Parts: sequence; C-alpha cells; structure tokens
Amino acid sequence: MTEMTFPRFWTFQASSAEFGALALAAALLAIAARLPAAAEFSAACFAGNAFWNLARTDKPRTRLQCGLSLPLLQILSPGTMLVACWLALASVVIALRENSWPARTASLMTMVFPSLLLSGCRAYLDWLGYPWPFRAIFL
Amino acid sequence: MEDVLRHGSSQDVLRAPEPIGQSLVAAGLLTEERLAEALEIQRSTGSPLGNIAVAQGWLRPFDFYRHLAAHFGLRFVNLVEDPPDGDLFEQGKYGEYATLLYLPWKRDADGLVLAVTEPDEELLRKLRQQYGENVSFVLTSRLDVLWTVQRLASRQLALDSVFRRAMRDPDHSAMHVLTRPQKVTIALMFLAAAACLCLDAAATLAAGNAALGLFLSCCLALRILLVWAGSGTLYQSRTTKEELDALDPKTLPVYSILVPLYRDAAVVPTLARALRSLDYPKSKLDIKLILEGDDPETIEACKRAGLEGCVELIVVPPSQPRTKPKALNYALSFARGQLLTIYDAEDVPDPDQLKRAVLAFRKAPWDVVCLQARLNYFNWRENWLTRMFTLEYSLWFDWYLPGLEALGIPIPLGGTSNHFRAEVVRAVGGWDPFNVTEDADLGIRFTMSRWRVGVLDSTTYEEANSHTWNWIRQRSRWVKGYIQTWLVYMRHPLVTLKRLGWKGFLGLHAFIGGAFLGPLAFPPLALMFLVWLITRTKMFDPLFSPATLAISLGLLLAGNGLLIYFHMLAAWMRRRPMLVFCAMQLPAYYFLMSVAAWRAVWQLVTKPHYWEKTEHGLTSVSAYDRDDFSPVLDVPGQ
Repeated sequence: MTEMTFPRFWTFQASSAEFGALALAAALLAIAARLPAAAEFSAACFAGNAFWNLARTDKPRTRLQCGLSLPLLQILSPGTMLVACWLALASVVIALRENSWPARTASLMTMVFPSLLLSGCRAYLDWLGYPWPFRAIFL
Repeated sequence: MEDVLRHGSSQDVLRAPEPIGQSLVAAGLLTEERLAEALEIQRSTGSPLGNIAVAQGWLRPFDFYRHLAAHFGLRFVNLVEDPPDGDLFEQGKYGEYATLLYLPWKRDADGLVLAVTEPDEELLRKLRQQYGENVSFVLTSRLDVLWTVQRLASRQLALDSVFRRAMRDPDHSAMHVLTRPQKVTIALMFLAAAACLCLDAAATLAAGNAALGLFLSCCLALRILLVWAGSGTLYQSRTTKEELDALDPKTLPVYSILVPLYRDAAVVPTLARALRSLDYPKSKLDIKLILEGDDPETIEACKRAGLEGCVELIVVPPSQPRTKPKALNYALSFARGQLLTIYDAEDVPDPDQLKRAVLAFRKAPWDVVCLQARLNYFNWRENWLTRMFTLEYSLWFDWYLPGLEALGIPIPLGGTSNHFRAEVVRAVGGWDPFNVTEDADLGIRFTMSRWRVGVLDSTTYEEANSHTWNWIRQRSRWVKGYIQTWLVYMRHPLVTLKRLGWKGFLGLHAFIGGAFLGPLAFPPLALMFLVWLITRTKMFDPLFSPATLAISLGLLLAGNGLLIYFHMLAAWMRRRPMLVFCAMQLPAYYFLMSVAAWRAVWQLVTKPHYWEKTEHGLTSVSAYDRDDFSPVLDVPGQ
C-alpha cells in the first residue's frame, strides 16, 4: 500500500473494479445524450462487470454495483430486460452459495432490492395515475 | 547517568552496583521468572525494565520508585507526606510537570531541589539548562507527581479545560449558541417569513415546501455519492495482517488512551478487560481513566479493578459545564503519548486497533492528523432498538465516513476511538467543552485548519442503547450538538467556505444539516402523506407544484427505498443477515429520531450546554459473548 491510501484528489485507475465506475458513467452520459445503443451496451457492461466481480469476491462496491445494475437495465429498454433476467438468475446462483437460508435470502435481497423497489415505485405511480418517468427515456 | 546526577550537585550519588533487574530480584520485589519475562519484553520493545515491570502490574509503582532511588543513591520523597513548596510551583507549567514527570520540590542551602521520577540523562540535562547548574535531584513516584500537580494546579487546570478553547478562538466556540449577527439574521428571517405568510400563505408554504424538498434531495444525492465513494476498496482497508505482523515493537510510540467515566461503575470490569486485551506493549501505554470528583462509586470501582501500572486515575473537580470534552481537556495536560485515542467506558476495541492506527499514520501524509475507527455494537441482537441502532451505525461508519474521506468533505468524528497525533490536538486547543458533540466539531475544525481526517479499518464495539428513553436522551444530545456545530461554523460562512472549499462547504450543509433537518422535517411530511393517503384530501394541493410533487414523490419512494437498501448493504457487509430484513422497519426508527430531534431543538433553547448522560451497562449481553467478535468487513487485509 502506498500514499494512495489517502489521495487528496480523486484518482482514476481503470482496473477491473474501476471499470464498473467507467461503465456507469458512460451509461449515464449516453442516456443524457440520447444514445440508446451506447447506453444499453454500457449498462450491460456495468452489470456484467458487477456480477463477474461478485462471483469472485464479495466486496462492498461489487455488491452495490450488482444492486444498481438490475434497475439500470430495467429502465432502459426491453432489449436489456433479457440481460436483466439472466443477471437476476445469476444473483440467485450467487445467493445460493451462502450456508443458511436466512443468509441466502439476505444475500439475494442485497442484489435485487433496488429492482423490486423500482417495480414497486412503478406500481404505486400507476395506482396514483401518474406517468412512469422512465417510460419515455429514449422517446 | 551518574555523571549527570553528580554534575553541579552537592549530593553524593552512588554508582549503581548492579543492573536494576538483579537489584529488584535481590530486594525480593521481582521473581527470577518475572525478570526473565521482563527482559524478554525489553528486548522486543526497548522499554526500560522498571517501566515494563510496573506496567505489567508485577511491581507496585511506589515500591519500584523507592527502590530505584536507593539503587541510584538518591533520596526518595513521598510527595503526599512531604509535599513540595507551593511557592516554587509555577501554575503555567503544570502541563510540563505532568508530561515530563518532575516537580520543583524545595529550595535548600545549595539551591533548588527537583523531584524527578526517572534519573533519565536527557531529562536531567534539560532541567539543568532550564533551572541552572545548581539544582539537585530527589526521586519520587509518577503517581506522586500526578497527584501533586492535580492538587496544586486544580484551579488553573479547571479554568483551562473550560475556557482555553474559547479564549483561543472565540468565534468557533459554542460557549454562546448564537452570536449577535446570527440572532439578528434569524429574527429577520422569521419576520420575512411572517410577512410572506400574511401576504400569501399558500405561496409561502409552497415555496418553503419546495426549498425543503430541494435540500433533502441534495442530502440524498450526497448520501448516494458517499455510499458509492466509500465502498471503494481503497477506503475499506488501510493495513494488512502481514504489515501488522512485520511491525517492530521497538518502533512503536507511547500511546495515550483517555477514558472519561462518569457514573460508570458497572462497566469498569468490561473496560478493564478491554484495555488488557489491547495488543500493544503495556510499557508504551499511557492510560488515563478520567473520573469526576463527585462520583465516588466509579472511583472506587476503578481502584478495585486491580488495573496495571500503565493506568492512571485523573480526578476532575466538579465544575460546570459538566461535559465529556471538559474532562478530556483536563486529562490532555497529563497525556504523554505521541498518539492519543479516546475510548468510552463500555468500549471493546479490536485488540490490534492501536497497531493498525500506528501503521496507518506512518503510511499517511503528514497532514492526516486523525483516524476514526469504525464503531459498531456488540448487543445488536438484544431488541428492536439495538438492531436499528446497529444498522444505522454500520452504514454511518462503514460507508458514509469513508465516503466523506474519499470526497474530501469534513468528517464529523464519532465520540470514541478517534486516534490523534497528540501535538495537533493541543495545537487546536483541545475539545470545545461547550459543544455537546465535541467530536463532530473537532473533525470539522481539523479540516478548517487544512488537516485531514481518515477512517481506520478497525472496529470498536460499543453497547447500543437498549432502552427507548435512554436512546432518545442520547440522540437528542447528538442532534443538539450537530445544530450547535452547524451554527458555530455558520457564524462566518465566507471564512468557512474559504477554508473548506465549495465541496467541503456544501458537504457540511448536506451531511451535518441533513442529519438534523431530515428528522425535524419527517413528522410533518409523514403526517401530510398519511392524511392524504387515507382521505385523498385536496387540502395539500396548493403546497405541491408539479415540480415539487415530483421531488417529493422521488424522495418518498426512491429516497426512502435507497436508504433502506444502503442499510441492507451495510448489514450484509457486517455479516449480519438478520439485520438485512430489519432494514425494512427503518421508517419507524425515523419516527423516534424525529422525537429526539425536536427534543434537541427544545433543549438547545432551554439548556444548550447540558450534557445528557447516556447510561451504560443496561444491556444483558456481555461484550465477549458474541460470535462476531472479529472485524467482518470482507475486505483485503482483514
């Protein structure tokens, strides 16, 4: 460990872990720039990187990245929904590696809760009669 | 050594005939086995043999110093029975007496006689330079010096511990809750709000609602950023086990540990066990138990605990304000360590925490002056409240604080397990005794002084409040302290902006401001939502423009949902799966926080400097009867 332990400014290193940050930034920029294909690709990279890292080691950033990647894929387009489904399956597989059912369920919750939250929000807004803000993201 | 003692002195000093260890054995004060053990420790740590034997509790300090005097042919004086001449005691020098452990004792025909605790060559030379060549020396015990300094300088010590900080930097002292310009500004704001309400109540309330929504959105955005930044590997691990193993004990500095105690007799045995468990050479520990003069039960409990020689009792005379920072300031004058930390009475730190702090300080640049260890609770399973409290702490210390460090935003320190470079704490005037979250204030003051605070990858386990009323009392003190701190640094907002920079300034508002404004705003907002949900009334429609409605709905759904999610993650990374499910109950916990926040506002007006004592020792769970004693964040090096 070097002096980088206390960086004065944000330092960026494109290692595997930081690849996720780059992919997320790219996805958000592409959404802002209304570039659907780039956004979907970046979001898929972000999600893939998250689950790949989580399958190897359980670190705070990786688990957070996993949790955020599913709703990101959900809001983009039906095309990315397929990737989201595959990753949801992957999260079940990762959760099953825990050694008790409470731990498995808790692990799964930390990966899919944001996705459930998004669905819940959508249902609530539908019930209220308000439009879903992400419906027309690329329209 | 003997030459130094003789030089310029009229007294005869005998050359020590044999090593002190052998001499102690010959006098029957130490067994051969203990001596061998002490020599082994001396080889690894480099500490003086006498200090080792005393610190380990193998030898009574009084016996050792009396024997040391005889060993060097010096006179031994008991300062309690034969007190020093009060006229020779310089009030302004009590800090020097307490840290260098000497006192001007008497003046005899040959000149000044100084009482020292160790015939240390360097110290004696320094004292000769200071007092002239004509001084002579007698030996006394360390405790004699400490008690005498406390007795002779009690008034000055008490005054300094209360007013030193306010005299040095009155603008940043919480002695006065509001300055005159602040009072005028607040009065004008109230007047303006009242006038606007009279002119157009609906529009004023709508604007207020929109402003509140925007502010809370900024707080939420900051928390999302903090969680992202704080989850980086860089901020989750500073030291590895290999580095710890490679640490040479000879190079470890003297470490002062300050433990303020008040009505804590019940937790003294736990504290004694925690201090004994610390993996640090005892001869390099300088532990001060800070007691209040009118708390005989705790004083008695400490005396009965059979603590080792590295533990000293500092008794603070009763005075106002009766706060923890005042007690810390009092004891700071006696701290001899290069590094310094604070533990609360019920704390159980990771045994290797001090070594981790030493390593982290060594690797850090010079301007990192404080490291905050992570805090968590050992009795989290006890009841609903302790589970919620543990969830909150897990997120705060494991994710938010590393995030603040990563983003360069001032870190409000937790009340315990802050590790400091001692000289810097002295340089900033110690803690603010009028601020009831002196820790948060100190963290911001460091950043204001262009120093930095980091987070240490080691955990101190505390006792979570398991009684609701006790919890509310503690929380209302914290919220009151946050408001005090925010008001202090908003006295000169431009100065604060200049010193903290835009990022630090906005972060301070969103993090500290959000910590009290959020709970204050929760009851009216929740009530409004519930009334609307049940009755579908149109009464609140004028308060919500389409933009405000979108912000409010976002905060209600995404905001609360994300906060619940972050708490889930924090619980998971502490390997407490059951707590993941408890995170869903957080809104009920927010209600309790709101009760405490409104109580804090009331107290800020009525009793701004009143320190609500948190009762410890209420738990039925033992700090050592748990299955997750070791740090559990799954990060490299742990």
